[in-house]
Amino acid sequence: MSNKKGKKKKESNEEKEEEFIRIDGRKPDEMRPYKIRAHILRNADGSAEIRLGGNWIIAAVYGPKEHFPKFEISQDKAILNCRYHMTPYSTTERKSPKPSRREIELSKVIKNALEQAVVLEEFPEMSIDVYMEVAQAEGSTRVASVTAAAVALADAGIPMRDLVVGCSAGKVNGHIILDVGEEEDKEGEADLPIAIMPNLRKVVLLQMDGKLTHEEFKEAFDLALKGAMELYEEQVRALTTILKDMEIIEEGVKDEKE
Amino acid sequence: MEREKGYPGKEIGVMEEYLADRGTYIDWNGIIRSKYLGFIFKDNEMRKVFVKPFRKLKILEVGDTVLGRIINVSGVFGYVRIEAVNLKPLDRDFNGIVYPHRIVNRIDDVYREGDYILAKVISKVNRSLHLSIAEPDLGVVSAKCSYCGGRMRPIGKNKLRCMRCSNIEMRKLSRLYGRVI
Repeated sequence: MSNKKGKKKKESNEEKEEEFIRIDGRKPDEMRPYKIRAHILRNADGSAEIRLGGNWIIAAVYGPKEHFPKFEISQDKAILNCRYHMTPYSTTERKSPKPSRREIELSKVIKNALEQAVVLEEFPEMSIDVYMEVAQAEGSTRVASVTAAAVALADAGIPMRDLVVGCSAGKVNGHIILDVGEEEDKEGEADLPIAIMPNLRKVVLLQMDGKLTHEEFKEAFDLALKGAMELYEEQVRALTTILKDMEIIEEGVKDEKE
Repeated sequence: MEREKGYPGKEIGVMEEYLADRGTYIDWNGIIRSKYLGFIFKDNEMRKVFVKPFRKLKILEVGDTVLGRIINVSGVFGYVRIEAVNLKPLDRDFNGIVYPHRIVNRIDDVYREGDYILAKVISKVNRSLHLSIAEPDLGVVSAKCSYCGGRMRPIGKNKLRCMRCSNIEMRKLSRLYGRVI
């Protein structure tokens, strides 16, 4: 905050010292347009979709179900299987559909993030499958995937301690920016994706690529938190809209009974 | 009772205010939070709060009646592939084990491989669903002759006769034999 004020003073003094505008015309602390929809697939138990700028990610949940093979099960809690996958047509050049090193790593990171939120102890000897399919990629897909997966899990009726929401921050040309896009990710100096549980105030995912000083890290982290809270409101909106539809159906059934 | 929308992590109250009932939990700060996406009900007379999830999980509970096929018999245990719960078809695999409700000389007189049985879930311990057929409505609901594979018709208590080769066999029959499947 103190930095911003300093900048503003400078602007007034030096008459329009170029305000940093990003490659896609955004301000440094502006997010791309976003939209989340819950329950978009009919056959999966729970599903969600997120559009964050050019990103388009579909998440689906199956379970809890009997786990197979049996020797893998754990006696005291359920197994959470996560699969982050990019479709061959998600990037400008065709991507091989085979799970790459990066995808396997992200699957694991996302699994660790979601495991904190889901109450796995309620389903011993069972498993829950989460599939995240990136239909279009434009930077920060891992945090968008976590956000969509949390909505899909809640939609499937799986007990959770809190929703999980992610957002990223970064550094381009010496400026700290919110919600890193694809070009900024490639050409920028640093990238900081985080995922949080907003009500419990816990960080469940934190990675960093590139170099940031201590002060820059703090600033970027605060900025990413702000973006995550913005996305969290959208998550809640998406979930409560499907509840609204349900309410109407429920009331209709009641009227018939009476 | 008040009703409002709830979603995972939503703050409902503090633990001094209400009793946290099903669908809620208390975090380390003593705040009651919702666990499910659903509706929050606050019972101000009993000082109780609970969340009714709006989407039901497709898992079996103790007390459910299941329809399944015996895929293997080893010793007295029958291994059952469950195909329907409360007469609604399932879209995923569940396996259970069933055993005779009293001591029998021959397990073939209770059920055989390939029979369809109606059973009740009595327990969920030890990695499997335990099924019971100890009620008049529970037991074999469809069986085939073990010699010729023909249809069997019940004659008297727990007795079946093949309609093609007149072979007589014993089963623990359900009262609903031939009416379920």
